[in-house]
Amino acid sequence: MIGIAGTKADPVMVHFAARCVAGDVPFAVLDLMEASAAGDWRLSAPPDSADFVSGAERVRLADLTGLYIRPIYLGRTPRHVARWHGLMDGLGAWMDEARLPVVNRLGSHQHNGYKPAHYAWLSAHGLLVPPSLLSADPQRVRDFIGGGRAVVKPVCGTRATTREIRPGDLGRLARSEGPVLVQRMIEGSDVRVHVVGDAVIACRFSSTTIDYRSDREATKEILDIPAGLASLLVARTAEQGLAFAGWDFKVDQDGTYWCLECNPMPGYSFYDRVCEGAISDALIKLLSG
Amino acid sequence: MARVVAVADHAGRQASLAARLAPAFSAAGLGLEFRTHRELAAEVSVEQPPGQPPVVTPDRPLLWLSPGDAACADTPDGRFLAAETLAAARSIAFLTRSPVLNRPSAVSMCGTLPPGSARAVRGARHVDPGAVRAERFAGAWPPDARAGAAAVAAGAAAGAGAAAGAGELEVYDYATSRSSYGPASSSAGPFRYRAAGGPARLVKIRAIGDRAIATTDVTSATLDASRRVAARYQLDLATVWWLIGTDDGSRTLARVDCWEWDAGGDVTDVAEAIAAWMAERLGGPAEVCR
Repeated sequence: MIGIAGTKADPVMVHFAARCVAGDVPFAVLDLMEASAAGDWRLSAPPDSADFVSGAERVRLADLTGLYIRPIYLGRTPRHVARWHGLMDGLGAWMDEARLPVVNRLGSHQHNGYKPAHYAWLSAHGLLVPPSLLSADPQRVRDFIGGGRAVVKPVCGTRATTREIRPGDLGRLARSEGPVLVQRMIEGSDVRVHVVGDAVIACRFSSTTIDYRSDREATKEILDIPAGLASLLVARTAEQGLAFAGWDFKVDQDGTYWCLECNPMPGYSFYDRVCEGAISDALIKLLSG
Repeated sequence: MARVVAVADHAGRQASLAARLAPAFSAAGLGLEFRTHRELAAEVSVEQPPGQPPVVTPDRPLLWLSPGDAACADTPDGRFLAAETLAAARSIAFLTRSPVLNRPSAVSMCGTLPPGSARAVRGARHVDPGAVRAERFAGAWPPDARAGAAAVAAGAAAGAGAAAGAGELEVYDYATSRSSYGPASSSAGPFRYRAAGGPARLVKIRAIGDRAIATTDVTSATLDASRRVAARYQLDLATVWWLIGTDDGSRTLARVDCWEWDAGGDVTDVAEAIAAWMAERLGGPAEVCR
């Protein structure tokens, strides 16, 4: 039985559960928001056969063949914060020592949340990354933009629509309280590659907008990426301690794959629909033991 | 004179440490400047050229002493800016080529120390297996504890190599952020708990590079174990807390910290050891006033 740990407000969790239902795959829901709000748990390190999490249902962790966890916190009160903290400490300690596949363990790489370090790691590990600059110095940013079209991105992992930065935007930077991250814009199609263990599932998007995610007219297709790149991504995913990752690329007109990021908690449901459920199928295979 | 930058809450929670670092660095022949995360992010740029290592400008030796600035943002924009500042400062500390004390890693803000206290202690079982106890977590006070603390203690210790002592529990209450011995009473929890051994004293060891500083008498084995725990998490500066049995001198790991918050009378020694650590890496004079 697969454990699905998260919140029912998360469409990715709902999508995965729906795919399990469609495939007649046994699963149990560990509703982390309900458990932390009004439920109960007992968790041990090292794991114990009596360990359980009780939210919408009571789940005995020893019955699980694998765990898919997306710990998204949506509470607000100090009381709920304390309970969430206690639950996540317990689950984190339990996952560190539990001998079952987990998507993804808390001890995996975190550098996606601080992008300059992420780009450096990717670049040092065989991925071609577009040039980028983190700076609060308007002149340095002006010089970077002067070298070619560029986009501005959050430094932290917060999701935001990618947009182009132009010299006219620099006045705002001068008044800003923090640095900005700019990256050379690569023109071409977008490729999203999901790695699930050894499985590689990719799809391509072609759009006239800078961020294809905001373009409903973007064309979509399943894609076979070069074998060498696929092998590299499987290896680099595992090196980060990840069982599941979503890799974003821009493919320029020469066919060069430029790596934009590796997402350690991919919101994959949209891509799964494009890939006809192949990502969920790979997750189910991985987590079914 | 090499200029070292200490990233710290130097005007607030780490003011005492900051006040002692300055003369310690001066005595070691090193210049020292203080920056908050925000100040660091405002004056350092990071460039990532294609296919080459990143370039940090200016690239200076750092003391990575603080997990964030003190001011709490109370608006969405303020929280976003705080997250951006922290991500920028963390990237700078991660990528700086000069020596960085407690350099953040791919998996942690500080060395490789896990963010949860229990995970940090449990992870040290590989370097000191006999000193690490089993941990248990509960949303409410567990029925097995009501049935008898000794049973829980024995059960919790199973598989961890720890000796179940007097049948008592060491309980951390997430609602109050306090620890105590014995079953919880009226608190709603949640709780983290582990078996308590026999009578013990709490001992704090500062591990700084190959130095270990204790304010009370401890065995050299405990000092060595403290250095091993710090090294396990790639920490150049760590506070390792032990429970030392008053009957048999047995050693139990209680906690591992990586941020120094001025607590303790050994702050001068800590500052001097930090200065010595940096002086050695910069090839300067290693001797410090002790």
